[in-house]
Amino acid sequence: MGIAGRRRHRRLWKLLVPGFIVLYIAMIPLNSVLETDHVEVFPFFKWKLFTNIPDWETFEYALVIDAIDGEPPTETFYLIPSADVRDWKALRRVAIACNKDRGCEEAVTEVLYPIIRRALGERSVDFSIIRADVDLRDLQDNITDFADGRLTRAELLRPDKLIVRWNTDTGRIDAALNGS
Amino acid sequence: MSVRVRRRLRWVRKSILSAGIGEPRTPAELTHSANNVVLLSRFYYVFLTYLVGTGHYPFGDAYSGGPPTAPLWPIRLAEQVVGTAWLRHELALMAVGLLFALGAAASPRIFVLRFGAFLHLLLHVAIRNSYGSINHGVHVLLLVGFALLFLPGRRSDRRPARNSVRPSLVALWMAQSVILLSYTLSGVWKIWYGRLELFTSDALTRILLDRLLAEADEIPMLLPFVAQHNWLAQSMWWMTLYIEIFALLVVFRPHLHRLFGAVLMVFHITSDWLMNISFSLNIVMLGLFLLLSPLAPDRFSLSGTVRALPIVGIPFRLMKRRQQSQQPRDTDRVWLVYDGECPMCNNYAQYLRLQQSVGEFVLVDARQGGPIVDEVRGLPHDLNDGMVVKIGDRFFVGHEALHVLALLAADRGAFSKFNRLAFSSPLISRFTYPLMRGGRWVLLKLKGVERIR
Repeated sequence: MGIAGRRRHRRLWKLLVPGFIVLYIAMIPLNSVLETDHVEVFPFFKWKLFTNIPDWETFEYALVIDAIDGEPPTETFYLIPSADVRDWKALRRVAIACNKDRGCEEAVTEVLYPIIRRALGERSVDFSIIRADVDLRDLQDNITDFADGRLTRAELLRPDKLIVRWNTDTGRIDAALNGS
Repeated sequence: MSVRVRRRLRWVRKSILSAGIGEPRTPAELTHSANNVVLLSRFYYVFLTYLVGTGHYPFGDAYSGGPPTAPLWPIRLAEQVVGTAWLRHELALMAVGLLFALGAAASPRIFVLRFGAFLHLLLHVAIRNSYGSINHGVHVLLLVGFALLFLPGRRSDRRPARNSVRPSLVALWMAQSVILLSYTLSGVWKIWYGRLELFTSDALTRILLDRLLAEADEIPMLLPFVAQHNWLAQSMWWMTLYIEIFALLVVFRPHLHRLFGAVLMVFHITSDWLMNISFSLNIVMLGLFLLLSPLAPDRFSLSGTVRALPIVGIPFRLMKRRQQSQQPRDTDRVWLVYDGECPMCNNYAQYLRLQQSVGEFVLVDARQGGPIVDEVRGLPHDLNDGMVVKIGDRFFVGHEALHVLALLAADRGAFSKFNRLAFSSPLISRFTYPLMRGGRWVLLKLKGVERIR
């Protein structure tokens, strides 16, 4: 490499670190313009973790199993919130889509059906997406019972709004976008 | 590039290259650090070999599992170019990944091996975040792999070590920057979205309880206890915000590399115990590139670390600066090592008036000894051959000392004026000094004093 080449090379090294950092930061606003399916352009992850601080009185989305092969379960059966945070996030995404009536059907069939089939097999399942109120103080006051399993999640969730009802074979049953 | 920008870049480079406040690194130390960067990259690729070899994240599982959403662009690109059949060849993919990772571990200077390992990792991380899968814990591993692509390759010229120092350190800074940027972004978003909520006394308690609802089937070990004690949760919250927001600044403060590396590792372990969020790969990256940072000072200094802390260190830095400004700098201090038994030398030394023109003038009798005399004894100069002047790190002996003292002398008083007039010329100093040395020899003989031993 000649002297000029070496100089150019040295200049490149100098700009590398600040350049990459600037690019990474610039990608944050550009993410939403460049990418539609995902929150960010890979691998420029925004690191927007735990930015939502919920109120004491908050809400959760839940996937309620109303019937399996036409038979209603003996007690309230929430498939989600489940132990898998991915499912929980997926439900949140579908619930928001259905609540705003933006691509609800696509979201339910593409995102929720595989989750339900994975848990319950190839059966005819009636299910609802609901919004339920939760008072986190109740959970804080009874945290030992919750940890021991004496208090269940179903007892803490107070169903507030039905977003959509569905059947895995026949499709949408009804919608109550304005609450029930 | 404007002069101001250039100056700023020079300042940034200087601040990184110095071990702390006012301690520039020697070229030998920098070469040593650069060699350690290559060693760290070996560890990185060994770890990658372990991940690929033990099938920690198999391609096939990721492809078939989870609710289907669109794949990320590397997978979409691969799908368009070669279809999806290749994803099912688990063993072949593993073998290729192993080959590159192992090769890069053995020869990190060979670019092709590093690039192959990076490409394999890129596809792997992309698929772990495609088709409904989420795994942000692998992003940092990938970004560090990208930074290591900039390690210098093998050079054919005769100065390999010298030429590879800067690129090696650039690769290290880049790795450290991408690791720490992830934390800073995380902290900035928390402030951006949290706003006034950040100042409430129960922010983390509410986050934890909300998380508990999602983690009911596998309750994290520490969560029930911390969620019941607001003060504890809130202390952890403030600490998290502090270390996250200022993380990127740590790149420029080598005193903090080890401390922040350790604190962030503890942060991840605590997050696992509190929220079942395990960023185990981040722990390894923090350990390699911050806890074992080649730029961190060799010895841990509590005062240096405290002074380097963002915000908290400001008063300590000010105190240090004030202390330094009150002490004369080494370059302001002039030592004159002379023979105290020689009446002529003694009178000359006492008549010199340097206090007004230099910061501090120190007379040292060579017969009394001391650290400066020891330093002079280390020089290829016999104290019996003439006096020695030390200014900063430089020594002046014999006629040079006489000349330098004449230049430094104040322009007041008959002796000082004569001294300045006579010996400010190097030629006169050179020819006069042997006469003065002869005079000293005669006087010592007359007094019956022995030579300096």
